[in-house]
Amino acid sequence: MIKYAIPGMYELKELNFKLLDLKKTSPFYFYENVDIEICYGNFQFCIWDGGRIFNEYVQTNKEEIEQVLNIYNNIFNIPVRYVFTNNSLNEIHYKNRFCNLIMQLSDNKNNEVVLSDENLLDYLHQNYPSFQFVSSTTKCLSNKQNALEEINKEKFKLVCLDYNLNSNIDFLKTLSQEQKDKVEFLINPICPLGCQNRKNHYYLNSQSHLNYGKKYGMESCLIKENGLHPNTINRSHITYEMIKNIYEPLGFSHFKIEGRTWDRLSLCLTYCNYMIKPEFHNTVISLLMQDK
Amino acid sequence: MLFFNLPSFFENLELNIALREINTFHPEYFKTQITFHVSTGNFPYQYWNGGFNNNGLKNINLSYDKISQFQSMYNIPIRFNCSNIFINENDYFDTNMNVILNIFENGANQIEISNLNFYDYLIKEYKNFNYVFSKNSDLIYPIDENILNIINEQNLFKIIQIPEEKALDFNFLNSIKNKKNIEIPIMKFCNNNCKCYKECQYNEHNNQYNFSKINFYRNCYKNLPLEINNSVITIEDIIEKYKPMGFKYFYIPDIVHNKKNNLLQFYINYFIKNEFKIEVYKFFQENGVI
Repeated sequence: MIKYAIPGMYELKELNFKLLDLKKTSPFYFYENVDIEICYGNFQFCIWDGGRIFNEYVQTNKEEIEQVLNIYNNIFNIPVRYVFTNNSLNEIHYKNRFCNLIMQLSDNKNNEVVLSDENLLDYLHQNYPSFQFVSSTTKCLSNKQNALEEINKEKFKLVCLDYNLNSNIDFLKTLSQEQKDKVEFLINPICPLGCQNRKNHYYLNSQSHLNYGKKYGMESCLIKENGLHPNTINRSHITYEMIKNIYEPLGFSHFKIEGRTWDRLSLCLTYCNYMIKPEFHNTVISLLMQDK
Repeated sequence: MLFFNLPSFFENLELNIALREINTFHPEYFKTQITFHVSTGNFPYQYWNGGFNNNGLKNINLSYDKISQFQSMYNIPIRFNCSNIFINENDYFDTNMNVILNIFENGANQIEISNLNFYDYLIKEYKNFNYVFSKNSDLIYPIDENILNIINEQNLFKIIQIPEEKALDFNFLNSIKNKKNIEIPIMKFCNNNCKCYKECQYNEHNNQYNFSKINFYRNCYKNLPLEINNSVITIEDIIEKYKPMGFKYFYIPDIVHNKKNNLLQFYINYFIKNEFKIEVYKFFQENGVI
C-alpha cells in the first residue's frame, strides 16, 4: 500500500477535507493501492514551526483548533502531524503557551510531531509521551551513514529521508525491511537537488517564526532566481509511476507530498497526479476546487 | 485640558485616526479641550492582554512588517495592555509579545500591567517604556486608598488607573493624595449594579489567556446601549466634579469592541457639541470610516 502524508493541515484544510471526504464516499476515483495516512502542518504563529514561511498569517483560537482536530481525528479518522522543525529554539521557547496548548488539545494518542531539534524532542517526549515522533528532512542528512544512524534511532517512528538520497537506489536496497518501514520519502520537493543553501534557509525560516513572521532575504534561493513554479519537476521528484514500479516493490510505503505554502489549485493538481486515476482528473479537480 | 485614550488601537485604527484629526483641526467641535494622548489595547491573540478578549477576530493577516507600521500610523504613543491577571513567570518570555515590545520600545510608548512581579521583569527588559498600573490589579488584590497612595508614592508608574467601581466613589477619590497621574475609567463594561461584573472580568482574562474566543462581557450584557449604561461619567460630570478635584486623565474602555459604528456614535455623542455632530459624521464619511 502507498501511504501519503498530505500538507496544509490548517492553511489548506478545506481542500484536504474535500479530498478526505471524496476518498471516503467515492473511492473509485482513487488508485486502489493508495491511502492517505496523515495530514501534516501547523497552526499559524506556532513558534516551534520552522519548515515554511507564509505570505499570509492568520492566527487561530482554541475552539477552531478543537474543531479542526475533531474533523481530522474523529470524522476522517486520520492523525495530524505537527511540523515543529524550528532549528533555533532554546529552553524558554519550549514553554510557549500557544505551542503547548496545541499539544494539550491534540494529546489523544493519535497524533504525531515531526521535528529536528533533539532538545525539543526530549521536552515533548517527557511532557507528551503519547505522541509519536518523526525525524525531519530539514536536518539535511544527505550522507548515507548519517541517514542510516537516524533511521536506527528507536525514538523515531519515521525518518523523512533527505531528498538527495531519493534516487540512490543502491543505498535504498541495502536497508532491511524494518528500516524501510521507517523511511518516508519527500516525493516532490521544491528545492533543487544538491542545493547548498538549504540548511541556511531553514535557519532563516526558523528565525522568521521566532520574530512574528518577519521576512528574511532568501539570497541564493535557486527557486526564486529561476522563477520556478512549485509544480516544476526536478530530478529528486518521485512520480506515482516510480512509486508503483520501483519504490513500492522495494518495500517502501510512506510518501510525503510537499505543498504547505502552495495555492489550492497547485496542490489539487499534485493530489491528482499521485492519487487519482487519470480518467477522473477533471472531475476531481472540479469537485475539489468548488467553494462551499 | 483633559486627556483621553483612544481605545483598541488595532481594531479601531481608522476611526481613531479620524477622530484625532478632527480634534487637531477642529477643536471647536468638542465640548471642551481634549487631548488624545495615547491609544490603548493590544494586537489580537496576545494572551498578556487584559482588556476585551480579541481571540475571535477573523481574517487578521498580521505579521512583523504590518505591526511595525502601527506607530507611524498613529503618531501618538501606544499603550500595550499586558494586564492579564493570569500571567505568571512562565509567560514572561512569550516570544511574540517580546518581539512586539522590542519593536515599540521608543521611550514614548506605554505598558499597562496589573501584576507587580511582572512589572519587575518588564522594567529590567524594557526600560524605555512608560508603565501604567492597571485597574485590573483590583482583580488580584483589592485596591483601597492606602494601597493606591503607597503605589503612587513609589513613582514607578506614569499613570495609575483606579478600578471602575471606585470611579463614582467620591470619598475614595478625595482620599487620593496625588491626583495628577490618576486615570479614571469613564464607564464599566456593564451597569453599576451588575452582580457578576468581576466574574465576567475574571472569565474574560481566563479566555484570553487560554486562546479561547468566547467573550463573556458580550454574552452577559448583550451590548448594553450607552444611553442606559448608568456607569457612564459624562464630559459634563468631568468638567463639574472631577476636573476641579485635580483629575485630568480619563480612560475609555473598549466597551463597543469591534463594532465600529457603535464606537463612532459614542465618540460623537460623548465629545462633540450638538451643532457640529453632522459635520463630524460627514468627516467620518469622507474619510471612509462610515
